[in-house]
Formats: sequence, structure tokens, C-alpha cells
Amino acid sequence: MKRRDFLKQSTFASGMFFVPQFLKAFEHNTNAIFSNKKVVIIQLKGGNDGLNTVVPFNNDIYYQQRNNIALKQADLFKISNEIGLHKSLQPLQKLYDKGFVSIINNVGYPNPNLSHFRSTDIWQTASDSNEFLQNGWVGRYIDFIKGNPYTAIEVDESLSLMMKGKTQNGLAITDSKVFYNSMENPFFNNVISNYHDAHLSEHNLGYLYNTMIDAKSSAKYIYEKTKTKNSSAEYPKNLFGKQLKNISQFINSGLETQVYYAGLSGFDTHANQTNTQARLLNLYAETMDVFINDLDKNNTFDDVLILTFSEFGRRVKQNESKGTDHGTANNVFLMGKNLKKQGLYNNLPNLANLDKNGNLKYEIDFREIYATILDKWLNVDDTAILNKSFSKLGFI
Amino acid sequence: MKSAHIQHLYNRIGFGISPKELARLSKKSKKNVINELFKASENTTILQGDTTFLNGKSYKELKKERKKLQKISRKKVKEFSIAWFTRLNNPTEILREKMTLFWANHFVCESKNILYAESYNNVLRKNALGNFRDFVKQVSKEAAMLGYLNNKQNKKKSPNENFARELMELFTLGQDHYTEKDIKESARSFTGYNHKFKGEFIFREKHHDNKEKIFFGKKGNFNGDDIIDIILEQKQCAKFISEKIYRHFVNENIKTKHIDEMVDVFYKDYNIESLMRFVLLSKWFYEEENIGTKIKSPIELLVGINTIVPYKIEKKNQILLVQKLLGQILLSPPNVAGWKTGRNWIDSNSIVFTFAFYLVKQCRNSLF
Repeated sequence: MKRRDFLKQSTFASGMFFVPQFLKAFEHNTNAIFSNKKVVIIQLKGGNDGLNTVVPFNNDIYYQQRNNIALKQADLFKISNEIGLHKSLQPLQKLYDKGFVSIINNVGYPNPNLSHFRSTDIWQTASDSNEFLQNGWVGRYIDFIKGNPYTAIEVDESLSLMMKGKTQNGLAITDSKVFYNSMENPFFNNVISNYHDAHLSEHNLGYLYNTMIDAKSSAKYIYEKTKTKNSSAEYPKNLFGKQLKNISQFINSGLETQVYYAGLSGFDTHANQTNTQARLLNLYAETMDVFINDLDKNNTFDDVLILTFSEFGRRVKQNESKGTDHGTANNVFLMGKNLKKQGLYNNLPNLANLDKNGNLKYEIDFREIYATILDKWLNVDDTAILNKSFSKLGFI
Repeated sequence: MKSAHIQHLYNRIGFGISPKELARLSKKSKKNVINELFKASENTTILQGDTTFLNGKSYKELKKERKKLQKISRKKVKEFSIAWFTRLNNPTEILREKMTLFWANHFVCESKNILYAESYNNVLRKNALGNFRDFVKQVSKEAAMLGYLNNKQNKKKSPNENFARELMELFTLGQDHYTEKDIKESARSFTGYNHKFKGEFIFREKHHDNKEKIFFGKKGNFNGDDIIDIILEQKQCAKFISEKIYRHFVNENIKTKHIDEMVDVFYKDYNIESLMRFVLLSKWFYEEENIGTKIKSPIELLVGINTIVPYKIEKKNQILLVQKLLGQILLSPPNVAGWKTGRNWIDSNSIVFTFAFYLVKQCRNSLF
């Protein structure tokens, strides 16, 4: 029997089997939510130069290695006798002083990969550097709690590997209204009512149908839940500002979404880094300041933890074009109201002890941060999601 | 040749086929159809951009009016992008144009300077079926690429590794087939590369690192071309390119046996035309499992629909808008890894969705 005939003939028999799964996508009795906590993940894409973000201004090696891009004390605001933050981050100073910021230094992983794409995959899938996974740590979280597509939302045009699970993917949305309207198009209802189980088993077509069912079942919920809540806060008028404004609108309207993901691009500063990085860090800081105040005003900040990472840091020694090449370990920023360890979580990397490529040797595995968030914040079994056990940190 | 096979062939190496053309070709043998295909792409019709606004300007004037000229140039790049789209919709050298689009998403690059953007685009076109060795060397000396991956800022005192890394990771070998040390040595060898105002390549001796380098175990005072030659000595390079071509033109799932056959053909002399001829003449290219199983990229889709059901976009700029909505703007890649392919561009983007499903419902074959 040919496959197609087989599928045709078995439609009657298997139809019943498929229907419940199909309907399930449309119901909104959410599965048991393990926690009402939320995590907002931000990636500084391209590899932010962490050493010019959190700066050891008394360190001679720093100035020797970076003679024309090193930041002087006047370019920084001090957070200790040794360390200052890039002046562009000034909008975060108030939050920092209130204890809403924790900076974890020297975060990385064994055998670092210096490719943007591979290292991003490693961070997104929480894999070892020689292990290739087809699903992300947030996707596996959705799987674990048997969540909905909207358990995790990426505010972007397409979905990153991080948000893809083994059985369930998160959603990519830029505008909930456009999303809703396009899904309410009579044409879609028509497609859905004409669907056959055979479609679901076909390789690519099935993928499209499943993705559509996810999107359709979430669009209405998200739109109706969020339509009345429009943020009045003034966000910077650019893509990143818009992304964070959307996230605040989603959070403040009580959406059950637990993980949000957004990104700011442009940190790959191989040449003439100084101005580019200053502009981007300022954009980041201003936006985060507005975002956090917006959440705080709506009494939602208590339940939000913000994680900012970059796929890698940059080389300690600058290059001849006033820029920096790809590096390894980097700092990670955590922001929230309930941080147990505020300010600097640990010491800065040792600039005198580099690997054979002139890069930093990491001290904290990034998966220890994920494990801590999963275990202490989202209250789930981190080992099941990360496929391995990692020690927990004390920032929450 | 069987109609279904001709359709498959034209979906992959072109942008679909009109019923009339299909009827004509189905009377011919497979060998003749393929010969005709290559014959039609023998020549290269350059795609011309409008650079007249720069004519007759002295260097002084150019410097003085820099801001203004940059603005005009940006506009001209957009026009050039539209011209490319128009070309794709009316190609005479079908295979060449399809390969040009393929290479544009391999040697990913962007320039806002119309002179550089035009030149680069035509380097892709001229070499699309040529020799891969010459191709890589030319790409490495194009003004657009020298700027995009900072190779013109790569100087001996402290090299810039951006180009050296992507050359191996994305253009020739793929991840994990070289060491960090190889990248450093390669970057040293490419020091001194630069270009003149109008884009001609120049080698600045005083910025070049003349000392010995060790690259893939070889010692010598290498320059950029030497590095490319050594990279191409690695069989992995032939494999990497063969796999990429297989994924794009045959099936996203690799069959090792087929790749091995391709590598045997390609590694000999890195002739792209021979490789493509081998693939298109192979039996496996026409196997059932390879037909109708690939999701087209947005551009392939837009052009493909037009081949079968001609449509017209009234306002030229709307061409760019449609491309933006679908996530693939010609001459404007998201980053050096290029546009997402296959399923990945459809992931729950609502607009793409509406469009994709419309296609599935109305004319299913157009998406795959």
C-alpha cells in the first residue's frame, strides 16, 4: 500500500485520535503553572566588550593592552575603588544604587567557541561546546511544565533555537494586534476546518500546520488579554525600545507568559569600537531604566528577573583598527527587586592569566546561572531541563 | 525528459517553469535539457547600477560632498536591489542568476556604496559557475567585502581577525575545521589589503606583516592568496561547499554517499560548473524523496509565483516592502550568516504565515 493511500484509508480510524490533540491547542485551561515568576532575557548580539563595560580602572594590564580604546576614570562611574561602569550605563545608576542590579563577572564555558553563531547556539541550547542540540533551554522548560506556546514569547520576527522545545515551541510576536488580526482572517479558519490529519504527518506541511495551530490558539488569548493595557511610559523610539515596551505591556496585563526574549544588535565591534559601543550601551541602559520603572509603577517588577548576556566577550588586547576581536568569558547582568547578592557578584577576571589565544579563562559556567534561575526562581527541576546538574549561585 | 523531472529541475535551478516552456522541453532528452540549461548561462549579463551622479567629480569635490553623496548612494543601492529583483523575474541566464542568488547567501556581504555593491554583485554573477578558487580570491579583494568584514582595517601591528575567521567558518571550511591559531596566522597574512576610492583593490605593503606564518602546518611568508590556496588544499573545503549546494539544490538532509561523489568531482579543480552538471545529471537528483520537499526562500517564492502566474507590483518601492515583510531583502542580509533558510523563516511570523498558507491552499506546489 502506498503511504498516501494508507493515510487516506486510516483517516477515519485515526481521526478520533487526532482531534483531541487538535482541540487541546485551542483551549486555555492552562496547565499547572509551577510559578508566577517571569524571566526577561536580553541578548546583546555580536559579543559585547565586557571589559569596556565593567572596567578595572586601576589595572595596568588593561591600559597596556588597550592603549587607544581603554576607558579612563572620567569615562566611568565608579562602583568600587577598583571598578567603574561605562558612563553610557548611567541611566542604570539609580537602579544599581537601589540594589536592583547584580553583575556576575567572568561567565563562560569550557572550550569556548569564538563563532557568533555557534556560541549563540551554545548559550541558547545550554549545551557543551562539542554537543549539538536541536532544542533550547527555554523550549525544554515549556516542555517540562507542559506549557502553551505563549509560555515563552520572543519579541521578534522569527523564533530562536532557545525557544524551541522537543514537543512545544514558544512564539515569535512583534505586534499582538497584527498577529491577532492576521490570525482572525476568515481564510485561516477555512484552512483549519479543512485540515486533515494526513497534513500533520507530512514533513514540511505538517510543520506549517502545527505552527499555525499554535499561533492561532495563542493569538486571541494574547490580544484580548493585552488590548486594554497600553503603556504610557516613554520608551526610546527604536526597535529595542519597542520590544521592551511590548514586553511591559504583556507583563502588566497579566499574561501568563513566563519567559520573554529580546535582543539588541550591533556589538560586533571589530573596528572603531568606542562610539558604537557607547551608543549601544546607552540605548540599552535608557531602555532598561524606562522598562523597570514601568513595571514598578504597575507593581509587577517584584515577580520579574531580567537576565542580560552576550554570546561572548572580546579579546583583552585591542586590534590595530581601534576595535576588539572575538573573545570568551564575559559579564552577565541580572536585574530584579529580590536579588540576594547586589552589585558585583564576584571579582573581575585576572588579566594576567589568559589562555593561549589571549582570552579570559572563565570562572562561572553560564549554565550555573540558568540552573539557579530554574531552581530558585521558576521552581522546577533544573537537572531535567539542562540535562545535567550544575551548582547553584547565590544571586537569588 | 519526464515533465515532473523538468519541473523539479526548474524549481531548483531556476524559479519554476511556464506550461509552454515545459511542453517544449518535455520533447527533449534529459541530457539535451541540461545542456541547453548550461548553454543558456554561458554568458554573463552584468547588472548595471546607476553611478552617474559620481561622474566627473574630482577627489576634492567627492570629499567635500561626502554626506550628500552617501545619501544618494544609499538610494541608488535600493534601486539596484529592485533592478536585481526585476532581473530575477526576467532572466535569460537562468542557472547563472539562481547561482548568483545562492552565492549571495554564501559570500554574505553588504555595502551602502553603490559602486562597491554593484561590483560585488557582479563578481558573484561572473563567478557563479566559474572556478571556486578564483571566486574566493576575488571576493577577498572586493571593496564591499574589505569594508564589511573590516579587512581593510587589518594591519600588521595588531591584526583584525574578522575576515580571517568568517573566511574559514562561513565561506570555505565550516566550524571546527581550523584552530584559533590558524585564524590569527591567516589574519596576519591578509594584513595590508585595502581599496581605492572607486573600489579598485590595492595592497599596502607597509601595513602587511612580512614575517613568517604557520598555517595548517605550513610555514612561509604567506599573503592572502596563499592562505586561500592552502585552505582549498583541505578536502574539507570541497566537502563544505558540496554539502551547502546539496542542501540548497537537492535536499536539506544530507546523504553521505552523494556528498562523497560530489567531493570527488569538485576537489579535482574546484570547477563549480562541473559540480553542478554532475548533480543535475545524477540519478539521485530526481529521486522521489527530493521532489517537492524543500521550502522555498521568500525571494524564490516571489519570483516562482511570477513565473507561473505573472503579477505586477505597481510602485517599485513596494517590492522592497514585500521583501521586508517576508524577511529577505536583496542586498540587505541580516548578518554575515545570511538569511534563514528552509523552515526557519516561517516560524510563527504572522504575515509570513498568512502568505504561506494562502500558497499552500491555492497552489500548493509554489511553496515547495
